Amino acid sequence: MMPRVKTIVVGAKEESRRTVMVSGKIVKDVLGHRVTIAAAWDWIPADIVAALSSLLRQNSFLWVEYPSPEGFSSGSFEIDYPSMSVFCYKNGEAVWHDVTLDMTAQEVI
Amino acid sequence: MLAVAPEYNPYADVRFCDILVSFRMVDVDAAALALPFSTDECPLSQIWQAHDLVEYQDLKLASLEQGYFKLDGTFILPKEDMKGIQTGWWSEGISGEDKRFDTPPALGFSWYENQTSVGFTLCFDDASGMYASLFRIRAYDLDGNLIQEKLVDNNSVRCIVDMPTENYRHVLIEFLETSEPWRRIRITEVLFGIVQYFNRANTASASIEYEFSPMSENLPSSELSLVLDNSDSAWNMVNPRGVYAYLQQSQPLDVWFYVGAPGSSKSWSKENAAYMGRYYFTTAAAEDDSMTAKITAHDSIYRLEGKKYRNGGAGQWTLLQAVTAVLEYCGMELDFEMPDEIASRLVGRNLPKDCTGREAIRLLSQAACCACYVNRNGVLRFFDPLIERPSVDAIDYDRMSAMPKIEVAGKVNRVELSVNDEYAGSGTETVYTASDIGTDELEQTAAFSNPVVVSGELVASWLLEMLKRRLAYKVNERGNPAMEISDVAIIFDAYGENRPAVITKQHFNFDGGLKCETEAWGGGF
Repeated sequence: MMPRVKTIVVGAKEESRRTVMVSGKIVKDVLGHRVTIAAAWDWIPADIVAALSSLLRQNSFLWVEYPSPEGFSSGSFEIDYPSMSVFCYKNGEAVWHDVTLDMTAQEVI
Repeated sequence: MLAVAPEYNPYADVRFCDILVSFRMVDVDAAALALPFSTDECPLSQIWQAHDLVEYQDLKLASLEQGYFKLDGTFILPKEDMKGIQTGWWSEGISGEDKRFDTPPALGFSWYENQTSVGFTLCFDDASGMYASLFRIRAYDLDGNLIQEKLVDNNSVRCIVDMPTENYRHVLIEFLETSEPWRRIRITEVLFGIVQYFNRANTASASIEYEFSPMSENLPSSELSLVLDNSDSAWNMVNPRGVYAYLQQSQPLDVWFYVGAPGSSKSWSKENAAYMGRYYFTTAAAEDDSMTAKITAHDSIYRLEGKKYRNGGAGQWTLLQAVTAVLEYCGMELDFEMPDEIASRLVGRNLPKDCTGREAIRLLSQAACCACYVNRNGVLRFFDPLIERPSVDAIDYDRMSAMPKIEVAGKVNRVELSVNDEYAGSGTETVYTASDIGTDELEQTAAFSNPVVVSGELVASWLLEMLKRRLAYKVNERGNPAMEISDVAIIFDAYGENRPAVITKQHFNFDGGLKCETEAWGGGF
């Protein structure tokens, strides 16, 4: 179980085929929008980070639940390796500080 | 140009493109060769219609099952003579209050040859909404041994049963339960296979190429290439659980392209999309370490390549008679259309010995001074590729991603047409010429050979006239799927000449977006 997230940024980027025509006009064939999530934690126990890293090595895509304008949504996401800044002990427990995860949806909506 | 719905907008600045491919992975001759039988059937039943390839019910026919026939104006009373009315097979037995049968009715099919299919599709009476909610399918081999069995829970009037079965001779479908109490089983059609759909969710890319030759120098076949998600390895040849064993050449694929504004994207249907034609499965191969698979399919012309025409002889006949005879000899059920004036043009009967059906059609078309191709409706269309027709579209600077490449073919002022009749005695060859050599011009000759030409001078003059139209365009554009080869479009160029040209080739590429490489044949120069 991950600790409570400190900040979470949910956005989306357009997926489209963009072409400049002879006239200079830009036209697009829109495929849809791909949800992106950037989540940051103040700290995460080192063993959870290790478990997460192991999971990321095994699976390209993971199922993620996240807050969205329509309420809680979920989907399959590609997740980058976590970035961590400081390793330390908190009440005798090994933790990583300032952990961030960037996630990109597998499908477009 | 295809007729399109108002919401169809191929040139919207921001557009949504989509594809739909239906692949009928159905045993190509099982329906035609099937011998149906059943445990019982009611007087309205027409069991032979259960394998006549009609999948949908014409009418919501009234019958006297308890609580079924309502006086709401939607029901049609059956006539004494059911000729021309689709019913399919109806069981005599009616289910009870618990929806089950005392004696389960069964429908079966037998064949004199082994059949193989990737599954079965049961089309129940969609007009009445009656269907079986529980049934069992059993497949038997020649010796009556059970080779495959499946109990199916169903909740739809169209039930796809994923049940790959090889070399079966008999199929028995036993109906155990209906969706509502007091109902008959009504089967409109049983398909010996399944219809698989591909759309943007499971398609990596697709391309379609159409082409015709204005002078009938060749007879191109339209080609569909479809790159699919193969992450489950279903399309790998060596996968024993894959679909490869059930693929048969001639299984049809129908394709639709939709282009429109993004807002309308959710509601598109076949009716407001452009129908891109029917193709027949040719090959499938796994690609990219099996993550994708590529299906290739061609139109009917490709199937003519494998047929030989060996019925040539002396004499003449009309183009209509000749094309009818060639298609009949080749065993091709291919509709064709030609204006009366073209149909009555004379051509020779002396088609070369052992020429393919495809080559025979090409020679006949050229000898009749016309061009031909298979259009989106699967009709072999013969026509005069004249440029003097109204343009149906314009490929302007907003619609092309690069200026068109314009090629000017070398000037030809003389045509030699060799007509060799191998059926005449020792074989005679006559050479016809047409020329239009201007003062101080060097002679530039183009040579043609066509044994079935009757009016040699006329055909040579026609070829010379066609060769005078020397402009050829190649343009990369956004693509309007409703535009067809043989249509005339205005093509804008760097010099502002903006000439009309006949579309001779289109190569549509779909990868979530849509592009088209178009070639066109222009006027004189």
